[in-house]
Amino acid sequence: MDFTLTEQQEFFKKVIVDTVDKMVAPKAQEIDEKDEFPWELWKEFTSLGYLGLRYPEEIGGMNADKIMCMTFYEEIARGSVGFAQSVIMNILMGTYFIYRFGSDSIKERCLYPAMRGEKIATMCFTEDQSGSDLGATRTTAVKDGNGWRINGTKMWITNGPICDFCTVLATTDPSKGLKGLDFFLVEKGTPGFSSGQILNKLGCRGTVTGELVFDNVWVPEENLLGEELGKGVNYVGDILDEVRLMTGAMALGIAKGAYNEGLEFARKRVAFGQPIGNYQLIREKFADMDTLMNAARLMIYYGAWMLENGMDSRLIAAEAKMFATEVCLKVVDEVTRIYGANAFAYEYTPQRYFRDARFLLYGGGTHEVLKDFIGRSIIGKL
Amino acid sequence: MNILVFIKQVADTEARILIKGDNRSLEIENKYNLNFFDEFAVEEAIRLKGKVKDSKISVCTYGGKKAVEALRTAIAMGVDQAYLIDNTDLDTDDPLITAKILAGFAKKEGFDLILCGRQAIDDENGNIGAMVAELLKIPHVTAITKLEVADDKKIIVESDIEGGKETKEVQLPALLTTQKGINEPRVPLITGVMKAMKANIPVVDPASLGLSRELLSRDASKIKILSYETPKGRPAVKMIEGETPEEKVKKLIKLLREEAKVL
Amino acid sequence: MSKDIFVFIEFKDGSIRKTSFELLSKGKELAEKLSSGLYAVMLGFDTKGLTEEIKPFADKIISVDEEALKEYRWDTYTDTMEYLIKKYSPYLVLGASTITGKDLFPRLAARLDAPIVSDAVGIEVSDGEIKIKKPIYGGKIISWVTTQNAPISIITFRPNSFSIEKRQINGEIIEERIEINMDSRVNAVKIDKGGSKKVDLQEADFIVCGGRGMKGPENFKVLEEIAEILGGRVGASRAVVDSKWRDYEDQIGKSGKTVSPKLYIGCGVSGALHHTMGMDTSKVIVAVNKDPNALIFQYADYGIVDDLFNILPALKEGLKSLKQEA
Repeated sequence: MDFTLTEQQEFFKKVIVDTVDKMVAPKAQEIDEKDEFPWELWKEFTSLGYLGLRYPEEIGGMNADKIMCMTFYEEIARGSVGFAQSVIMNILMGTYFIYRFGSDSIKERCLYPAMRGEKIATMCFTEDQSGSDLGATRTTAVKDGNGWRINGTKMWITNGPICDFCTVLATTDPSKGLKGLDFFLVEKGTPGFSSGQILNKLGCRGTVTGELVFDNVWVPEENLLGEELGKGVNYVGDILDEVRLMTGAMALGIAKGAYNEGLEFARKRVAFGQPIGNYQLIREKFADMDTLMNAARLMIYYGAWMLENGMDSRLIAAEAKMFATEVCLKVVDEVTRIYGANAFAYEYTPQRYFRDARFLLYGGGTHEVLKDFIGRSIIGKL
Repeated sequence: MNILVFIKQVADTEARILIKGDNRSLEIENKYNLNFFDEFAVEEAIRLKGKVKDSKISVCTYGGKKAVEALRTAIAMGVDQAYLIDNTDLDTDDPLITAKILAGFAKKEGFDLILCGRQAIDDENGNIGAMVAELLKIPHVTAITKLEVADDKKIIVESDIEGGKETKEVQLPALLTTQKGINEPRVPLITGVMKAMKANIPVVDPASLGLSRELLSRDASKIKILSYETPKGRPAVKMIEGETPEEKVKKLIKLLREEAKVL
Repeated sequence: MSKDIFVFIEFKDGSIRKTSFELLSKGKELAEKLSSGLYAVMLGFDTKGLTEEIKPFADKIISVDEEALKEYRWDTYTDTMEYLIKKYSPYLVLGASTITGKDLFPRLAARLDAPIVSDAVGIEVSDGEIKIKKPIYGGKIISWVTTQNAPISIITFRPNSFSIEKRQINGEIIEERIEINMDSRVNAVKIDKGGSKKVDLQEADFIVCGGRGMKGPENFKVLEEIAEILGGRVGASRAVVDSKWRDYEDQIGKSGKTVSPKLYIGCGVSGALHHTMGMDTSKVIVAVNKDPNALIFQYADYGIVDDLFNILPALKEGLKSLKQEA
């Protein structure tokens, strides 16, 4: 058993911590206040090349192992979760299917520019009546000549209104439920493809999240992403654990950001003649927060290690996502208590972490769905 | 041009530093960075390499194993080669010993130009640059804010002087220390980070640098730390209350005159 | 063995720098304890008048008055100092950690193979042993150090480390003539003394420092006016310099200058560690900020919570009438 990072992983962590501290964290408050996509930061940050994090070096990626990926997700979320959402969408879900199934010309047009930050990617699962329940997907794709015709509306799409291309989940055979789902690439400018309402969110502000409308959109056969029709859900299964662990890592990042602010405050804020960090009830909070964050970190990195080593990580990924998010919610809450009334003012940062944390409840599966999955998996079919 | 950069890994400004029970040693939180002023030196070397054909940048530090991280940071930014002169069990408080070791390395390695930060932000000495230059018998310029290459034997630098700036022509080989303002150090690209992660960083034994054995012995230091203490805290702040700004100011001036006696 | 003390004298714009008088004052105290002589060492050109100013403060004044020493250069100054030190064999060489001091003394130390302690703030002598007080890690730790196995030690001090004592020693002037050669590898092509910033930031007794709360470069005018009334200087936080509202030479803090004036007034300065590391040795600290939780108040002796743009004009008027009374 070995829990240490390799010297390489340690160095990568140092670099990403420094980069986030220098470039991202100082802008977090402004990004949240303006709630606009930070184009300038996007350009500056993506020019460093991090969007190719998971992809092979031959195509300009970094081929980072899953431990490094988690470090990256955690740290960028610590800096600004509003920005992190957009970045991670390009790195992971937004490009996964075109990397795996895209033709050379699709890769040329979409993947490589997305790895360079020149194109913004997204993926659309959610509809107004379906989120975790993929079987209820109502967007349809019908064979039409040498391609497919897509109709439907997607909701809660990260990067949706500003995306250059998206990977859309649609049913090709509604009678087959989960076994009739497939993914399609739709690029900006395709007739019938447009974005609708932009959501005004409680947290994760700065990420542009909204509706995408597919009104009789026709795409050629090559845009069907998959080797075999009806396998969409299987493909989702291949990336789901990583998405869940990533969500947990982001939760941990938010928790750490809030925790650091709380720690600085507890050391410096004086009440009744001494720093509040000298009081036992404040110390207890740090003991609890640190314990919980360590536990969450161990789960996430254990899951990442299993994933990296090709082991079955379905349970640990679901558990880690859920646990880390609950830990995050607890930590951001405690930090608002340490900060006292200041936490209630928009001028200070605790309120931002407090709002941002709640977003992670839904991404990667609600905890109700996850708990049901975990419980069902443990007890088995009776 | 053969460019050599000296760097130091230092405790982060936010790192917590505690004095140990013996009052003679420190416990430093594990948060280390490439020294603030050395980043400018690394950046300037990289820019220079972009301007002068066939340039090579080597970076070196006299430090512990942990300092490899700072060397990798320099590689990630764009230097070609890094060396760790291992100071395990030889850590010294005497800057002249460090300077002799670095000068020994420079002699062995060869160079046209040496760059380093104007001072380290931990011991705040700022001695190494000028010392190494003296030991190597080459010119030095402290705290440069601009560097241009005139020809392959001469550079033009601007540096801080009392109350202003001075521009000098300096013949190579020379040593320059960098001041804030000379450039904006880059954030490493991922390609640099990958190169740095894989880079092989040779460890140099100080004993291989042709220095006297006495210099590397435990009692070579001419500087001795007697003790450490924490600075005396200030009494709690006196908040000045008043109905109007004028009233507050009046009270403040009275206190500054009669209590603090500084006006 | 001699226990004599050298103090390296600096001057600027035709007058002796305050920091040199501070060093002479402390130097005399040390010399008395060591039963030795205090030498003021003056290098320069056409410095007759200045030498007279030093006479009350030192037992002996070594004056090297040569055209080659008109402007400071490490080559000519190191050579000259080396010559004088070898001739007079002092025990301690004291200098200021000014731009000149930081350039000259390390090179001199390497030339003489002597130990150097830089940027110190205090010195004591007990039982013949010297103890030097030096802040490290941005002032988070104070170290006490000494030198050993060395006939001569070099120490540089931050300006404002010591008070100036009036003395009437009427020291003897020794004129040294030395042949000085300039190092042909270095040539000054342009010297720009950059206008007339009256007081050096590090030497200023009064510093009015603006932070991000000043909202823009145009608002620094009132700080300039207050500094002018006090005979001090305007300083700036890193945020201000990074926003290009003020020049880097005004920056106080870890990546700027370390100051310890008699009075520091922070206006709209939040008190980030980076900044406080450069000013927390100030004798008296006043903070004005509209945020009652600003960290700067934890470093301050006096605090005012209010809008800067109400306080600053009132402060200007208050100080102006105080000056008129006096």
